[in-house]
Amino acid sequence: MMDILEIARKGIEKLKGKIDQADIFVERRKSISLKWEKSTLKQVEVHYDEGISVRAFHKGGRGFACSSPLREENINKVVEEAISLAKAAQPDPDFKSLPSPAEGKKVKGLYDEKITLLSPKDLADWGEAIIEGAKRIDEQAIISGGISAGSTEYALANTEGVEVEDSQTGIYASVMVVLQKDGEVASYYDFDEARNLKDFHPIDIGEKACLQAKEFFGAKQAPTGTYPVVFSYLMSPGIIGAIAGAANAEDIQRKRSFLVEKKGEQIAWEGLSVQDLPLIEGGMSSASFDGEGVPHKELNFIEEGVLMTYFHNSYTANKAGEENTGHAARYSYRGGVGISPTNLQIKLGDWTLDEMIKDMKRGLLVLSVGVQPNMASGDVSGPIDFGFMIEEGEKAYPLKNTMLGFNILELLKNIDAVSKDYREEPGVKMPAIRVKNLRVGGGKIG
Amino acid sequence: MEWLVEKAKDKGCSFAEARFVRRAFSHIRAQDGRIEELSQRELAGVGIRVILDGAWGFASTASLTKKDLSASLEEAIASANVLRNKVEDKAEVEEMKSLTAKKELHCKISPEDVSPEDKAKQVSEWEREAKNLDPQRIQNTVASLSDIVREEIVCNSFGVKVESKLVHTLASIFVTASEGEIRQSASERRGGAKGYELLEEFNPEDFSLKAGNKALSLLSASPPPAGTFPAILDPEVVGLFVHEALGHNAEADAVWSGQSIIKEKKGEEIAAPCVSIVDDATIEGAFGFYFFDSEGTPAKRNVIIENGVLVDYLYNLETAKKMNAQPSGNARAESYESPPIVRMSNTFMCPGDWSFEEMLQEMKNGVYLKGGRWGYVFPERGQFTFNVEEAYLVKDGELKEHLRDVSMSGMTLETLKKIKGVSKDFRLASPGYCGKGGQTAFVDDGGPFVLVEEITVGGRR
Repeated sequence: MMDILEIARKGIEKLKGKIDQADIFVERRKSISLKWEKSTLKQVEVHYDEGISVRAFHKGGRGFACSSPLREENINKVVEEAISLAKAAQPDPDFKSLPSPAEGKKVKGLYDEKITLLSPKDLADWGEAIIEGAKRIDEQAIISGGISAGSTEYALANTEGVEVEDSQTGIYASVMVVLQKDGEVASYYDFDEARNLKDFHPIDIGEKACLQAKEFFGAKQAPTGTYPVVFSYLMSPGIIGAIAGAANAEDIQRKRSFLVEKKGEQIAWEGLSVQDLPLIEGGMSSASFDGEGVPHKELNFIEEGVLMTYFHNSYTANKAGEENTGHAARYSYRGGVGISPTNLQIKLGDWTLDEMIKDMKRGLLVLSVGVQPNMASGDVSGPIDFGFMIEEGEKAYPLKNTMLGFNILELLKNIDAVSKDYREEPGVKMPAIRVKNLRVGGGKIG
Repeated sequence: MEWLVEKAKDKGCSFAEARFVRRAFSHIRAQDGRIEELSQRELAGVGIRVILDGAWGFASTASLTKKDLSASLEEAIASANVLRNKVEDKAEVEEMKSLTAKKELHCKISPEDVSPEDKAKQVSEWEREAKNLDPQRIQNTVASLSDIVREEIVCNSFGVKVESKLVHTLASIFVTASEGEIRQSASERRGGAKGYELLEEFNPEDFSLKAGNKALSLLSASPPPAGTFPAILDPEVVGLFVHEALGHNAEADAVWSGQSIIKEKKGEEIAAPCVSIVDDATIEGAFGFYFFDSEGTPAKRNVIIENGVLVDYLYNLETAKKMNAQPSGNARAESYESPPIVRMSNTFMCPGDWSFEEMLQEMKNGVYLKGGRWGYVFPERGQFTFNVEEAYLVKDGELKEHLRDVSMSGMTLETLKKIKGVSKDFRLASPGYCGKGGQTAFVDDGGPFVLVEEITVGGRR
């Protein structure tokens, strides 16, 4: 099998002289997955994929072509296609250059050979254990979910001399448990993920999801009103991720984001600090370099409530005349280059989640809500998927058909506590967040 | 391909299927007055699915050498072998009649016959039209045009060998406008299983200019109130409801696995008598059109609800066998890498006899929800949530305050029963992609205007 960096290198040689600049990404990917449905193992899938993509730039105009499999004729074809497409695009004076080679730090713990050696039987053993765990709590539970393990090796070369390659592995398990009692339905989910087998402990996720699901019987609609809200551990990545998504320099420069002209401003409670940490050993979003081969580095995103930076790739950094933060995102040979943060870490606070709940006279505990802000306005209006009404520091009842409506910038300023305890997945510690008051749409005003 | 199926049979598989899929995508995007990217993607490979002693195995490869295809078959069989003693719900499929067929969608204007320069010119024009509406307040416009040619060959151990070739064309525009601190966006999308004749079917007034005007008008709209209100839903929102809230529950895999809110309700009245809902893959030109599903079953028109009564679910070969039904032609796979699963095609509520004006008069006070942005459901709980592009407060039967950033939520079965009226006007309104199990499928949905007794709105006041 041909070396993938060699394929990329050869492609670059073919492009030189025919186009201003270009980069080539070559990838091979293997995965094995198992899913379970109706509380029993269902199907194993084994996949192999390989392909190449070329981005070519002519006076800044961009052509992109990709193809699989990695055959000589396909490689030649995508090279020629990308060139002719770039020439059909219009010149873009904001395009300055692709990145040049730079030294960076090699992140450890992103590849574990043990994951590549997993067999369908290994996955089946985990699957059975997860299903049994849920059934121990409720024999009638309807359990679905799956495990997927995979590896990818990729290489990137550009006309400016960048040549990088790396390999990564990952494994992910998730479970959904549905319970029924007297015509009522309750459900919950859980997951586990890792890059290394030693960090992967999925056995108890079925049991945990089932125990949590049981608490959702007897759900009621909360009365419409304004309440303090505690967002539990798994919510903090969603809230911070929504902010980070809007700090994408492409959306800022195109004036599509609610964070336009907010850099350097106090956008959040002064107790809130968030870092982007791409170099964490074994982190789920860690990598030594970004999707254009730029070495990763740590970055302060929000410092004491002040928005410190936007996230750049080479195009947006050159256009803004700012330093490239190294956030070019490239998920596979099939897609172009976007912008994405990596491991976002919220600075831990002083409270525990339990203390936040006990301290609440009347408010909501939210385990999951759709935080998908309107990118232009920052307005969020979403249902509480999983949550509880809290009265006098205790869970009063689970919620259904209850919605939160807020502007995400108002929410950030209304945060008044972050927990010191957290849920941890490789690369990120997720604390709970408390917000002073949010508007809740539910039943008749109470 | 046939040799793979034969080899699987020799190795003791009770069912085997080999599927080749080739997809060629072309995409052009204009932004900020420039064509900024043209792209071509071509992806091909083979997916192999087998049943061995009641257990499924599936493997796929992008490498098309005989050696790698054989290796994939071995992996599929080995996977099934591991599960054969562990599966409680044994895999089985409804038997098919042998069939050899080849169908190709004939476009009036094939994408291959339009030059990249001509495509680029059209996209630039849309982008410019929207931007020129109000260059001061319109901050960003993104216009794009895509075409996808998809070829699929399905071979299976029932002697089925069907080949089909489809073309999909999709045009979209996304506009962001701002004034002071207020920033709003709006979009329009037109698409179909057809070639570039699509572009002759609409004009700027109902595409680029419409998106631009919508984004501008939302700048002076208000945030919605929170609470529960009577509502009129437009065809796009009805499409979202029919697809997300009801349709996914009608997929027989959800029913069989016990996760559907309409399981064991066949023959029961689950909606108001004015409600009929259909999934129809045979509507020529619609975005969810196809000739055969990815198991080789010919596409059909399937009635889900008729006059309020649940008639039937949507099936693939496996659920049809297990639930003693006929395959409905709803097994679809995104590519060679994904096994076929139960999917919708073009899903809609059938029209009734109300006019929009009559609905306003009947409702008197409430909200009019317009233009679906996104939606999601917890099928097992029957809870749905949709984000709509815009809304109006209705007072005394008249459209009053314009509202922005509105999400609505409700319980599917309660909402189906609370439908009071269904309009004569009807349209399939939302060509797009539906995601399920990590796969996307071309779908369309829509319906008439619908009057509902109550819907919960997530507001900020």
